[in-house]
Amino acid sequence: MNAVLDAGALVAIDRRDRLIGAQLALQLRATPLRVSSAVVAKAWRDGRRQATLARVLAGVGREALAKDDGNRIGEPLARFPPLRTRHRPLPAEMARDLDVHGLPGLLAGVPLWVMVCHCEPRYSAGYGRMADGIGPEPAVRRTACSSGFSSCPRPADGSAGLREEHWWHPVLACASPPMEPCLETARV
Amino acid sequence: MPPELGAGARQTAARHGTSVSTWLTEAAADKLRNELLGNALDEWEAEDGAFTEAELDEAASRLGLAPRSEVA
Repeated sequence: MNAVLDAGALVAIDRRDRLIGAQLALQLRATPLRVSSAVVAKAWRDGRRQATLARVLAGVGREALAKDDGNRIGEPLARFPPLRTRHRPLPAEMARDLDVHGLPGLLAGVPLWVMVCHCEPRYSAGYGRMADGIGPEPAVRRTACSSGFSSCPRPADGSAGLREEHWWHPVLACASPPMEPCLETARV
Repeated sequence: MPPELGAGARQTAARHGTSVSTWLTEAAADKLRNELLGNALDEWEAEDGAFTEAELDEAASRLGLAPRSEVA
């Protein structure tokens, strides 16, 4: 059994959120931690300013996405209602529901084309999630989502620019009016 | 390596569809990473203070584990 960190967990680590630190401390004695290279790409911005994240990541196994994993992850997103998908897909939950086990099912939804919005949530309902990679038990330990945001300011504080990120299904993103100023398109 | 350990490693590696050497390498890597993660958390606690019982209990709750106070 592995525990998988998602991007929200990495953001929380980078912000030195003590709750995620305590979860890591508990998990340390339990199961090896894993993270996907795609998720690291979402959270990693500047190692000189992310010392805590760098140190923690040294102790986390990294996994690469296989060729078809994007399809396997992306296609089930169509089954989720827009509201839920807008705020953040819950891939671990999806993995359980759809019987997609292992790391690919636990990653943030990564269609072939994804839109990444570097937004500061207006309200943050918490972030960081650790999920079991294997096993029938509930995979989502803590969901990472915000309750809403109205604009997407770029960081002006000289920080590394790390923000909680929201992954959007491409089709749904097209119908999302307030996001255009900060949408970036990335090929995964 | 003790024979029982070797046999267990061979069986487990076979169950995972991998070679013994690969399985042992991954086990060693996991152990090393665990050590590094422990070091990272030690530094975190040295800089910000040790995680409190309340924080660990909350973390256990988030992870779906029994509160540490109940386990102990």
